[in-house]
Amino acid sequence: MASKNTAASEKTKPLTFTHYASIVGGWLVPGLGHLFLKKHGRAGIIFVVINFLFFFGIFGLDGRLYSTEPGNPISAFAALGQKGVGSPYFIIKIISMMKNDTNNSPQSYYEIESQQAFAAGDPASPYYEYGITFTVSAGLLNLLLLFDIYDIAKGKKK
Amino acid sequence: MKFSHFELMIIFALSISAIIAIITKEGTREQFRYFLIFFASLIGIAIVIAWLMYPFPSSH
Repeated sequence: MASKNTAASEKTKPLTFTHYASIVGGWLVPGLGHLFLKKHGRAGIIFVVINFLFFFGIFGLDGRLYSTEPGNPISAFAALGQKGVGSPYFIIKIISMMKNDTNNSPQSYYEIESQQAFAAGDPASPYYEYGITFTVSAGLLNLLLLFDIYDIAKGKKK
Repeated sequence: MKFSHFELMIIFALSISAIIAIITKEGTREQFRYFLIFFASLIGIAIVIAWLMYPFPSSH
């Protein structure tokens, strides 16, 4: 038993600052964590795929960004899923907040539409639900990749 | 741009398969093999389920 524990502790490495930075970086920018751990190929694929899923869901399929809505507890899970994608979520959120600035109130229906189309999506679009699925999936996959970064950092995986 | 349900399903399956292959397997060759198997499984299972649901009446 003792020899088994010793063997297991020999296989896993203690986490250093770089490893913690990889995990946080991997959340903030998809692929950055793997880049820190010198997994360049994986980092490139992750960056392209996760960002593609998220931005295609928002701009290509008219999906929306979720935030926790009062009276709709399920929205908290969707919001958490989307926040898993890291900085792309917050970039879109900040830009949409700047566009919806109350000092810059819309003068016409078209201005309201252009403001809402950015982060609130277009519920009338036939692709609206697909867009939400793509963006939430991007976030959840990025969260899943954090476990992969942890395993690589600990030496459990190459 | 207009997309069919099937086209969107292929795009989604490609993306999911790429990430799952990276997470679960080690080595480029093994990852690529798993990517193909996972992608084919996602599309194949979706087609089988759609075919099984075909006799059921739709609400439209």
